[in-house]
Amino acid sequence: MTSIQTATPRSSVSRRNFLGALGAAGAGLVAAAAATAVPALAADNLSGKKGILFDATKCVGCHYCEVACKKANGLTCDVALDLKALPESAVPSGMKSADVLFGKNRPAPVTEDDRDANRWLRVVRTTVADGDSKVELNMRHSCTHCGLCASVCPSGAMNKREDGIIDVDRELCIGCGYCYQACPFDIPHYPAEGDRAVTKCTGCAGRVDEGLEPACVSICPTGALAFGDRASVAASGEARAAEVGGNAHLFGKTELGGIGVMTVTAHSSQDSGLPPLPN
Amino acid sequence: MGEIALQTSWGVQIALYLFLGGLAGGTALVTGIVQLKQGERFKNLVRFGAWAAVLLLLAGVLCLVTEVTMPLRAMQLWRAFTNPISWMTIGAWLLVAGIVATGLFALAATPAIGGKVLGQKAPSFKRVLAIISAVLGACIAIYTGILLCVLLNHPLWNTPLLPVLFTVSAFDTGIALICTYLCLGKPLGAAKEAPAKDTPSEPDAVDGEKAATAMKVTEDAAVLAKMTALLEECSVGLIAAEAVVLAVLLLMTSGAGEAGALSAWVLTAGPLAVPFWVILIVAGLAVPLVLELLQLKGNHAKWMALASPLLILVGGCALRFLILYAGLPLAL
Ligand code: SF4
Ligand code: SF4
Ligand code: SF4
Repeated sequence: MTSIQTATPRSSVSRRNFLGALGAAGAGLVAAAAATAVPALAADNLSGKKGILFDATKCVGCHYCEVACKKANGLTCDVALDLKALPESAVPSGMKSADVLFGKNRPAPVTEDDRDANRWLRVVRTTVADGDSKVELNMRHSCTHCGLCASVCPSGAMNKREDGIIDVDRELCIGCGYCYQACPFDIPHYPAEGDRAVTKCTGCAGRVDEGLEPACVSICPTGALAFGDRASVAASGEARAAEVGGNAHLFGKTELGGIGVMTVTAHSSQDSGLPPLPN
Repeated sequence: MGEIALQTSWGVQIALYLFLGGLAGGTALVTGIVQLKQGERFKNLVRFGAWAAVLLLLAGVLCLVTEVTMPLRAMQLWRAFTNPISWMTIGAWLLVAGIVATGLFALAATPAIGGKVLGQKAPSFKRVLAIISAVLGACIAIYTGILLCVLLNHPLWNTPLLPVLFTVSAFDTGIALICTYLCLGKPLGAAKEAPAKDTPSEPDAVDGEKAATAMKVTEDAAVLAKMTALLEECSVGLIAAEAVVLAVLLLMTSGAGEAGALSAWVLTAGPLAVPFWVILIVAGLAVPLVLELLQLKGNHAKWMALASPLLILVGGCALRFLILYAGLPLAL
């Protein structure tokens, strides 16, 4: 108190202290921010992990996988296709892609909203410029098990298993939307009413634990989907891309150190609608 | 450019939450420092700052709770916030700690409560609580930026400059709130408890008392002017820093891929250009900067002393909304 009388209104000591305190706080924050801005990405996300290979060059857009996903995961499904009649773990042996595309086996189009908490997998048909002409491209839109959501989810509702599958424990989700913001694939969704906890593809974690393939993989009639160890998924994806040639490449082996669903596409990642992820 | 879908998945409440968290954190920091330097002199200011910080933190939490889809679950903190590497978790616990520490500080700074309960020990308690509340306030301000900057899906947010920007703005809005109180409230705590007693006294003594009061008034004015000038100087520095950081952030973002370029465009020339330039740049940064400089040069119009902090607060709020809505995702 007494110091006031001697201090001039512009006491530099006091000002310096004040600015110093602010400055120290500022320096601390810069350090903290720099250390956290880029989430630590695992250098190797491949070994010991499971993965799915989606080969867009083989996908005919039959939507069988969507239906299988809905059936296997208890989601509402208005498609009149009784998958119980089909073998659980394998494609019906006599079925060819042409049967699926044009024949009586083709399911009715899935009619629900495109981006729906009830639809964990969708196959979207687009056209891509290929030289002067346009060619059809079917792309799988579902969780790629990249793990970005699991690292930001506060509650552990999005959780990464040993085998790399990002499983969902809806009981824990608080619906904060942080996972949605973290996801480069626009995947987590929230039912508009009722239980509004997050939903997304669980990688069929339960089936995998039973030694089965994910439902979408086991139903695929064209061999566009395969399941296995990530390293071998990556190897066969690269082999397939080389076989197709041209612009064909494998997306997901190096991105984020390796993600759970890798894609072979004959077009550039951008043309295929795949996000530019860091390696 | 076609149609641009702005980022709206996180909307009004999150923007307000980021603003209120930063403002509360900045206020707690400034209040804590004032307590440590001049606490006994600025009793009322400290009491105001501490209560304001607690209430703003609570208001921010309320915004957050109304945003999530499972609010009842979110309120079970021990169950909802368990992933230690999530900044949402770190922030939630920082907020809890900040509300507790700043709340205790506010109680201790309220004479009717703190004085009675703590008695002689009040000053040392206040000192400790001021330090804890200031540190937590700074951490909360920083965290509001880190929350966004870890999301590599949003190039506008995914840079270490974002927490710097938010923190600089948070400290500046905290100073602005305190300056508003300096202008409108009665920041000095000691003076007015010396009302003229009705005891008959010698004319000499009355004169002496009057003289003492007059001296006190001039002294108070000087102390107040000094504090105001100090805060204005800090504010000028922070506004300048904010402008530089914002400019560098936008330059860097515009070079960070398609989504980044689009985000920068959305702000500076696209759908958000008008609020960006008018509310944030002109009203929120340029005008207060000029007003603060004029005041430091010796212009002491009351409207200036009030207008500049209020504009800073408006600018700080606009900053959170603009950055949030312009944060376009990688997959456009
Ligand atoms: S892995 Fe399972 S849950 Fe995920 S898309 Fe395939 S069928 Fe659906
Ligand atoms: S694709 Fe999205 S939902 Fe799936 S693991 Fe990555 S961030 Fe999570
Ligand atoms: S919305 Fe649910 S799953 Fe997503 S981050 Fe928040 S708590 Fe986790």
